[in-house]
Amino acid sequence: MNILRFEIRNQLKTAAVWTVASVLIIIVFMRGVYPFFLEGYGEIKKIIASFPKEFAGALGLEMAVLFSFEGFYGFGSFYVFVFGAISAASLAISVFAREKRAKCLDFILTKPRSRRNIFAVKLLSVLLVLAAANIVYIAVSMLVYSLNGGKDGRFFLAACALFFTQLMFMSAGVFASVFMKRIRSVSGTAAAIGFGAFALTALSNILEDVYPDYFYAPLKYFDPSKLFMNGSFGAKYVFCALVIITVSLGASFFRYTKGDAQSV
Amino acid sequence: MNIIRRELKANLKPFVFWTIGLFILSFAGMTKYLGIGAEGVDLNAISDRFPRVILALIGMTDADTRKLAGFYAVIAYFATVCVSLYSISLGFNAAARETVDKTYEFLFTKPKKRSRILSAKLGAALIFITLFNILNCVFPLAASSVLGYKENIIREVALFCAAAYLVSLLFFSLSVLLSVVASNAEKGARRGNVLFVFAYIMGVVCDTFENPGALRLFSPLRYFTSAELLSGRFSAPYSALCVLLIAACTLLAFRFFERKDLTAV
Repeated sequence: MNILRFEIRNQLKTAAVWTVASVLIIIVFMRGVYPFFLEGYGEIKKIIASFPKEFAGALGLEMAVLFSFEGFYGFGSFYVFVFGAISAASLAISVFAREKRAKCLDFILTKPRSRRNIFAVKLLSVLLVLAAANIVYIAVSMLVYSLNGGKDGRFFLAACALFFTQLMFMSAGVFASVFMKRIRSVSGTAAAIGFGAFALTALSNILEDVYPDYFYAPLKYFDPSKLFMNGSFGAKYVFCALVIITVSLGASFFRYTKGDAQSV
Repeated sequence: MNIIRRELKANLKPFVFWTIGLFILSFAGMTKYLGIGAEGVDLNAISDRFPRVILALIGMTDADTRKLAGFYAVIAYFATVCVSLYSISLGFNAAARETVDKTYEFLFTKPKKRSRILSAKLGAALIFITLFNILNCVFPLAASSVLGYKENIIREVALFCAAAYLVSLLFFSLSVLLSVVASNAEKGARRGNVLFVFAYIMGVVCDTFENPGALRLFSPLRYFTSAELLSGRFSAPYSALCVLLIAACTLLAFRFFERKDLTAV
């Protein structure tokens, strides 16, 4: 209980800032930008109609999705995802690398608690904070959606996509903190993970004509636009996400419970 | 000399990783250039109709992506983001690594002035930033010749890279200053990263307006805009501002570092 309380209390302020930021992004996008965006749609439809037929079909569908409320939510989500990925990773790193960074791993490991228990409680504290932040995010998303008169039942799943993405990056953060020899800066490491994922997404957007699969771009696994276009995130990507989460958490658990504690 | 050598060795691995990232960004980005568009399909006609906010988010305002130079401008923007983030991490490392690793007692009891030590560390970081910026210049040119594009963009690449160099040095000196001033290392790192996010958002806000005016002052990422660089202008007032800010931050960092209380975390 002590560890749980300590970790949650330490994360509370940062988590609150992140939650407010992500909620603000989605409100600005959906209430502020979307109406402007919609204005140009009429002309764009005309332009597409002037294209050759085989081209106009696919492109028209793509644009129809992008200009729908749900599709635009998917577009805006990407920016929330980048923020969310960095925040989840930094949360996990700050909790799991705390003792390593302070060079006092022996302090916590000599307490009358099994290492499994310590690992589990730390993980629980990260999960609780993430879940709380996402409940707020999902609630605001649903509110904005219903204010706009949306009825699609899949929207709830789309709003949950942030949580799924964050779970992956949390696992990556745990993995990094347990396996890296040194974590010099929590925010620096998290930003590097986030930027790496961002670069991979950019790469996959560029290569999608040649290789339609994007296994290497985890930020796109739970792309809400795909959900609205195809009806699902794609089983193979959900499977990939599960593999990433189980493998990195499993390996970290094993290392944390069995590995040698470094002395200073 | 020993310090510089040690610093160069310690920073080599991250340098390789960041270089790989920059390489992917430049090469993969350049392959996407379509030119005027096949079969009379002009995708740019669609993006022209997008509101400025959206274009600002993807860094495409004022860039005519029908021309190779304009297309490169979009990639150059993301490359600048990459270069800046790398510089921020280098700045933090130069100023705070010994504290984080708890090796400061070892280094700062050596018969060397603190200012000498800091300048050696900054010098080593500067070498990496310079190298990185040279690569930032080389990659797109190499990509363009490998991919066989006919248009000549040497002048644009040189201008954009010079701008990126100034901006990254600014972020570097800001990050050094913030890390030196902060009472604990993590605070300094966090402030550096938050500052960057702020600059990025301000950049998007700037782009949303046709004439951002004084707003540009708040976003180093907009000191040199694509529109200006593409037309061959390299803003003199903003370069002067950059140099001035860099000098001021570095000077202040040295002053604070001389008197800083080095304590465990």
